[in-house]
Amino acid sequence: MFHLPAKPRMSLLKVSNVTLKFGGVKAIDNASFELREGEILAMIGPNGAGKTSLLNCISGFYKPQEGQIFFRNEEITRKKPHIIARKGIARTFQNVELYGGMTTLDVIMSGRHIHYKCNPIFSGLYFIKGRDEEIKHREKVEEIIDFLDLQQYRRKVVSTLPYGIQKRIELGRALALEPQLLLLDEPMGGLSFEEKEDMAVYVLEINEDLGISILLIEHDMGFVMDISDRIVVLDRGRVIASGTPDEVKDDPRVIQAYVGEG
Amino acid sequence: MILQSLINGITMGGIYALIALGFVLIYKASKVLNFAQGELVMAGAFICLALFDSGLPLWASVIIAVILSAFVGFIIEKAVLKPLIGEPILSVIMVTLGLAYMIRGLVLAIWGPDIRAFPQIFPPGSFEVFGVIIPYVYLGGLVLSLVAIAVFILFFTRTTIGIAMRAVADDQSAAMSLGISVEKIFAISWAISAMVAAIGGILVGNIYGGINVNFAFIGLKVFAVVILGGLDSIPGAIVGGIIIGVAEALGGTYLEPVVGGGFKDVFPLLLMLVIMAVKPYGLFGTERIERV
Repeated sequence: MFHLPAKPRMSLLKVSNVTLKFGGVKAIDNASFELREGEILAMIGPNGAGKTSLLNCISGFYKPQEGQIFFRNEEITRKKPHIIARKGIARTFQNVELYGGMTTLDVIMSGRHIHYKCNPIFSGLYFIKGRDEEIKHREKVEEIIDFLDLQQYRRKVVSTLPYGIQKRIELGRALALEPQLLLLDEPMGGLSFEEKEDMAVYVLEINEDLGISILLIEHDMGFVMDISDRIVVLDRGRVIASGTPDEVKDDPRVIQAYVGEG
Repeated sequence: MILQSLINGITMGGIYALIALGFVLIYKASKVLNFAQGELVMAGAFICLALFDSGLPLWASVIIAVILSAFVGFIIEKAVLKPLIGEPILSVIMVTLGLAYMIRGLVLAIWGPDIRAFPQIFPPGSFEVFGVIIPYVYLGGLVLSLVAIAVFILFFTRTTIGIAMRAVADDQSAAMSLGISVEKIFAISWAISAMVAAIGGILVGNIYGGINVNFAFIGLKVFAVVILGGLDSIPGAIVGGIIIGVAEALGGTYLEPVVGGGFKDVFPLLLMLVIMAVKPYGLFGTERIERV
């Protein structure tokens, strides 16, 4: 697969004093955190804490009114989603967003869009150059299919497949971008216990074997504590705690946010 | 007699299907009903005619007209529709109606209302198969429209841009997250739509032998095709095109002498209404089930 060389853990993503308002309501309130290269950073918090909104700010779907977001020391705060994706940030969605009428192969192939060098007309006419490039991309897609154990579903239309498999296909499509940072919005949402275990393995392998940094939102605390290097806790749009899983789980502010006042 | 009507109907149906594909492409990508599709058909035919009248060989006139039409489609999207992103869809649809009248007005101003002879791409004459007389213009029109449809489908299913277009049509957010520029895809959709409209216009111009500003009313038939087949369905556009073409031919041959003049233009619309009563989303359209 596409291994990245080992590097010292530099800052990959920096969110600095980001505020996002919808009308008068602050969805995110002066949030700041940092994600380092090669790290799995989990973002947790109660429902409505602003986790997905923050992910949408990072991926360009929302434009924050205040603050800055840096990716590899370049500001991406108000860039369009497709520009941010081209810079090396891929994402999955809370509710699976796949192209229902396409096969698994085509869906993952759509993730190769940014890597096509050949003129689309040549590619369409299937000239030698276009065909060679198509073969190269198809090989990458086949690697991803093998990596995520999707071989038996490669020619199946995705809308006909079980939800757990669709989640994996969406992950495969994001990997097809060959990103440096992967944003996962509730990768465990709606999965059975066995599927959650499989997903945990895939997330770890993506991080360790492919060298891709991961920022994930998740409600499954067991999963978060097991696989995260660090955790950021959001409550009502504010970052109330951050640190290692052990540091965070004993933090009284985190307990307060989840349990509330007795 | 019936075979003759069927062949004529299938030929016209193939061309309607081709033009309808352009309509469906825009609808799939941006949910915009392009009421100017008939005018783009007319504009393509008039551009070809103007190029031919300027002294260019016919083959060059056709190729340049198709390329220029694509450019016109691209400019329309960039100048007229891009500023309307985020506006209510009804506003955008009304703008396409305004665009239709604007194109029609331009054609009237430049070429006037009279019917103008259209240059013939295919040789005159016909040949006979099992007692059915097939004019070369019909055979050529059918073959070219089928080739264009095949190229369109291959483009849509095999090329990077084609897959990106399908991605945008299915889910814009997901497409953007993959580095696909939705704005660029919208512009390409309009360019391709205008391109196939021009090809359709040139083929119909050949069959009719002449064109004038009323040529744009072909858009009504194409609208019937896409409603019949399903607004968001490519197979629907093809099947719907053939059904409308055949219905028009059979209506003209068998019903018009009984009912009266002009019934061949009405019959496909009546057929569409009957089918819509049974299948409200069209033959292949996506059914929308909403919680209320």
